[in-house]
Amino acid sequence: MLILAQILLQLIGFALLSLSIPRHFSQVFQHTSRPTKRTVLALRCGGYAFVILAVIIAVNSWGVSLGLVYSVATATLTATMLAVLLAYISKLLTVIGRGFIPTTK
Amino acid sequence: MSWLHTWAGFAFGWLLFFIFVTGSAGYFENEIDRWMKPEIAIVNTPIDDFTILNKAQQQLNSLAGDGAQWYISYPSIRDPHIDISWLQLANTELDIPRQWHEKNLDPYTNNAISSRETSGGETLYRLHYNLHYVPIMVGYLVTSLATLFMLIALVTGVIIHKKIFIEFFTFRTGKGLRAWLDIHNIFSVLPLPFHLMITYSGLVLLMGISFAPVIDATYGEGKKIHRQFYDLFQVEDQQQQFIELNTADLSLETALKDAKVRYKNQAISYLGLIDRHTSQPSFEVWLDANEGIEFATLITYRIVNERVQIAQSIGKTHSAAQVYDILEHLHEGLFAGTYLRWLYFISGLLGAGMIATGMIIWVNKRKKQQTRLINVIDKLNAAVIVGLPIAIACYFLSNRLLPSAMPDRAEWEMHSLFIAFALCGVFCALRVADKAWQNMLWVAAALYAFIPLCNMLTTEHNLLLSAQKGDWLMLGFDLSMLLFSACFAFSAVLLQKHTSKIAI
Amino acid sequence: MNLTTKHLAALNITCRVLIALVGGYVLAALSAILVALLLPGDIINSIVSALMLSFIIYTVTVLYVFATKTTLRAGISVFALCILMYCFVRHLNGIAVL
Repeated sequence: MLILAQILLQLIGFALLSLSIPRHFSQVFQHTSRPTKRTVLALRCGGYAFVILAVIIAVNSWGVSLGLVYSVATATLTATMLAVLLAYISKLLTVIGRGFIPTTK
Repeated sequence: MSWLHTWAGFAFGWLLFFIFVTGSAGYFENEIDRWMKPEIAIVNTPIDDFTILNKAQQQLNSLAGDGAQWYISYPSIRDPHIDISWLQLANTELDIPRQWHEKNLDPYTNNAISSRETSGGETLYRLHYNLHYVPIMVGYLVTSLATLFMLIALVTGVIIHKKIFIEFFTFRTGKGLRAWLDIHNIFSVLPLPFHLMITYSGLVLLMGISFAPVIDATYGEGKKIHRQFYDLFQVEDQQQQFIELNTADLSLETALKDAKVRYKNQAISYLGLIDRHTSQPSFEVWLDANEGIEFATLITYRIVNERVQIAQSIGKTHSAAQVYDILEHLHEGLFAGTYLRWLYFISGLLGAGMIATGMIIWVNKRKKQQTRLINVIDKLNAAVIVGLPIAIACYFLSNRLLPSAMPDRAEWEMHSLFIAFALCGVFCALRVADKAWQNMLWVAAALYAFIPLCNMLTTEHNLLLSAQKGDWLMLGFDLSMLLFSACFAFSAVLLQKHTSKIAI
Repeated sequence: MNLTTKHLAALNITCRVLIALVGGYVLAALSAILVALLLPGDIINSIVSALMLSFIIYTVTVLYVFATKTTLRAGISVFALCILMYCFVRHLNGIAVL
């Protein structure tokens, strides 16, 4: 249960952080070209907040050494999941997009 | 820096790949051991600690009457079986060497089972620092040197990858060299804390050997002195107290009873009887630590001044030893539960992938030169990167296929690994580079798929039966083999698509 | 003309590698001995602490040797530091180091 919470929090955190990077922002939100400075700041703050929250919860639940191990290990897991997702996100989104917006093309 | 990164990585690339793969296998050493000893009895239902003790003592009394040390291993999640082991002292008259014996106990039939003689998961993982066929010291020193190169490659890698955070999640598929570089970055950066930890702690674990001259100059020379240095450095603070128990009553039963009262919520992992043949035996109760990154707690019962005393270690005395312990525990990951254990394993494989992609990039960057040397290295890459998994598959298969009565059976399982490895080298040398990669991937896929099949054909275990009996380790191993097979098949298909694209 | 520049480059690299690996090891070992002798408290604790830190010195030395402009500068720096360490160690206690 705790592990699941750890994964979810870090997933959200890193997702927000990845969106704060222009390249990935444009991958996901295909119609907008670049995110505004404000958006980037909001995404960065939100992202870090979630990740830091995850670390605090981990240290609280398992103690310092074990908690840090859980945080760092989960960070590797979630970041890898996101990297894979983002690599194929444009393909995924066009498929989803086509599903919702029927075109003749 | 880029130059240094390339060549520091290249110099020991294949050896480091070997170290990472065999080391990662070590995180599932117990599970691999279980698969390689299919005869042992699995304990699925909780059995009373004292019942286990009684059955074990019965067997030990009949089999190990003159054993100097007795150990009883209790069932745990990773080792759901009961084992007894005993130390037989050397007997020069009868030409018997000092050796440990081990038997598995079936609590349901009271049989003592001897499993097939196997190198098991333990020898497989020890390959990553002992190497093989070379004296242990050579293994340690070569591994240390390779690890130093690894550290340099990691640090230079971080230095040259200045855009590390911008490209954190980047993976541009299908663009040839760029894609390989992206994958190499992902395999390196995302598990970077793991890589740095494992490399630095690896260096520290072997520092007594690699920097022995420092100990010579500051403490003293010679094997004995170094041994003394190590023992002194590892000394622990002991908390000792006398307890209300008659010295005549001190036995494994009473020690166990006392320990269970003091540590109500901790599971027993081992019971030990040390120095049985002397007038001062001591009784050990090992408990699962359940806390932090420690693995176990040890309580020792012995008779001191005609009273029963219990002693428990409350930590290493020297602060440096405490730091050393943290690095050691992080490296070995013995404390890790299922979730962390899989992440350790995957991070290790990502490290192996980091090295493999590095070697592939090295070749791909120079492919245009079309020299003989580049071609040979390309083929050797295939021989090592796919050849090692193939060799390990052959190691597992040899466990099932070698006759049980064969002399030196355990060593021959290891020989099978290296023979298969060598054959992969020969095969790749003879094939065209592209064909070599293709063929090797399909061979790997086939071999890994064959492992559970071989299990079914040569033992009474199979996927269905394991699921029914709740033999999760056996089932998990077989399913993992199928998963690896699928990964290799998938890679083979990807490679086929890629080469046909280029051909067009 | 081409032959000598190629040979010079190869010589350069070989020297840097040797200075980095051998010189780095000697420097790291001497520094560890020095640190072990300088640290207060139990000698065993000091030796182990010094050993654990020695790899940082080794790595930094290797990086430095390959980052400096000339091989000569790398060689002289490492050699000079080794001599310096050796003198300090010798001064602190008379134990023969090598």
